[in-house]
Amino acid sequence: MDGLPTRVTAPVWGIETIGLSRTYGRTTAVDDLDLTVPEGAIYLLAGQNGAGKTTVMRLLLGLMRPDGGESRVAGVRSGPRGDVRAHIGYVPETHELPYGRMRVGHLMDHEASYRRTWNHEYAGHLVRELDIDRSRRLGALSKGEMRRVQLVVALSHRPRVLLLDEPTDGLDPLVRDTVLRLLVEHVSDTGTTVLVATHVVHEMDRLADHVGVLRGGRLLAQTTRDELRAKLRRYRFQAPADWRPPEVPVAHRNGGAGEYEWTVWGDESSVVAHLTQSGASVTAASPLELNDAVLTLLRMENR
Amino acid sequence: MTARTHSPIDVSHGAQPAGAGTIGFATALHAQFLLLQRCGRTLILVGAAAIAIILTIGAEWWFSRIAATQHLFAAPIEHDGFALLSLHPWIVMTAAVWGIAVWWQESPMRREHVLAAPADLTLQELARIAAGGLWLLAMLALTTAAALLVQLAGGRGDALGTVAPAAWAVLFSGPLLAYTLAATVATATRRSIVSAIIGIVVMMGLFAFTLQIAIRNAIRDGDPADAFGVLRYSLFNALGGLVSTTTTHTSQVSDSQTTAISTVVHGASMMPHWIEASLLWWTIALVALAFVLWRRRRA
Repeated sequence: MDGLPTRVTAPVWGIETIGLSRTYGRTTAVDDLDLTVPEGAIYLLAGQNGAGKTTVMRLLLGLMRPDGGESRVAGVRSGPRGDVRAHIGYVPETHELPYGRMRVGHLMDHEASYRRTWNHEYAGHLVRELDIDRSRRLGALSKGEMRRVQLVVALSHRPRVLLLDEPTDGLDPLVRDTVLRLLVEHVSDTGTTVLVATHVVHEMDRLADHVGVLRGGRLLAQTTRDELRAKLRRYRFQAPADWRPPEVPVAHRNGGAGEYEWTVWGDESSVVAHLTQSGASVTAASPLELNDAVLTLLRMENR
Repeated sequence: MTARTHSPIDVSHGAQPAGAGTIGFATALHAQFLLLQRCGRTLILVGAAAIAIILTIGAEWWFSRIAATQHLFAAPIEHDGFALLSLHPWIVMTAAVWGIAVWWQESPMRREHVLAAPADLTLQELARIAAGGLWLLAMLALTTAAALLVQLAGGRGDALGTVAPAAWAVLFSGPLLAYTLAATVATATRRSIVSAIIGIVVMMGLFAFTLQIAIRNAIRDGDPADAFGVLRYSLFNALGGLVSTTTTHTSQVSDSQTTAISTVVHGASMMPHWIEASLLWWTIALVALAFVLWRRRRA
């Protein structure tokens, strides 16, 4: 389907990539990616496993070299020098650190020694809020406890940009709720730009205000949550047996024998007008939940 | 295709206070030095140092009186000017293992928590390696000091005067060289298992080396010129060989071990050869490290 948006507008970008590409041998992980995250946005980067989300994160951090294009985070070009990473709080995908004997407090001290803007008071607040025991060894922490520690480390220097790679993966519902609540509080308090890469999309339904769908290293769509809600809609309608479908950008088709349910991209009034003119009778038009919207986009391209 | 450009960024806005920036090598080195201790990896060095000191004490007070135990050492312990030198192969072996341990379970793909810090990538990796080297030197200094005290307490202080400058130098530079070579491999290796295999090979090689010395000590005047001995000699033990550079034991195929060690420890004429060999191997090690870091930076 043509017509899906891949550009968003904003006065200032928190993150911007231009033609970013990266391959591993013959495998293309990121392909000519133009990712634009407005400053202060919570941007959901959705995609299946292997879509290239983690590679995007690493390229933004400057941990690997792109084969083409470039990226900027908080206005600073990504690269092997550390200047871009001074503005980034990063929660990696892995829950494991190879420092099993290290104590939580020492890990925080270690991170603080690298971060000139580390706020000890704020770190202490987060530690209390998340009920973290600084004296425990990292090797004794559960996944959820480790994730909370990683969040404290990522947030305590109050970075301008947060990169979160599968931040709730493997967490139990209670910890997941705590983590998401903390993120909301932090962002509302600081205006930090957040890029969340995840395949657990439904958890971000109430948080994300921008969405990008990645597949095979390419952006299928990139838009605001509001636009996605407004334009990607599910239409239920009835049509006669000799009905000829109109030319509308259909993302997903369902039904038959007179009863149809289509998911269509476009202005609702325009879509309804097209359907009506073709002889169909629209009975309902409703927006999709974020998870359904992303799944629809991914399935559409999979056909 | 239209030209794509970056839009301007308002850097005055944001939650982060002013002052965010990169940190220098000294700060990174300090942080990595503390990290190695806090994550418990220095226990390897502490354990090795403790064993070396215990063995030195034992050599001074007990082992030299037990004929069988002499064969565990590179040479009869009582002949040396400094007893710790007899343990040098084990010290070098520990240093090589330590070179692997500084990146244990931190293959290049699993180094994000280290490299995500606001410091240059190469500088960060170099800081870790340098921090490991500092720990090694610190432990060597501690062990040497303890061994000196033991020897002085044993009333053999006057023997220290017979130790050649090359032997004192190689006591520190040998393990450091072995560490640097092993750390270079660990810095480049993708998987910890490869590092482990290399570490095991290094250990087995050194063990075989020391075992052969022990056997040769046992047979003393027997003919040690076996195939392994010839191969080892040409690869490592010849003047300029790796073992000659990293240890005090430039054993010669045709000579008895005692004579060989005496040559190195007491013979001033060996000094120029040792310097040449050291220069050669340090050049190899540092060029290899620079190449690995360059490759990693371009990955």
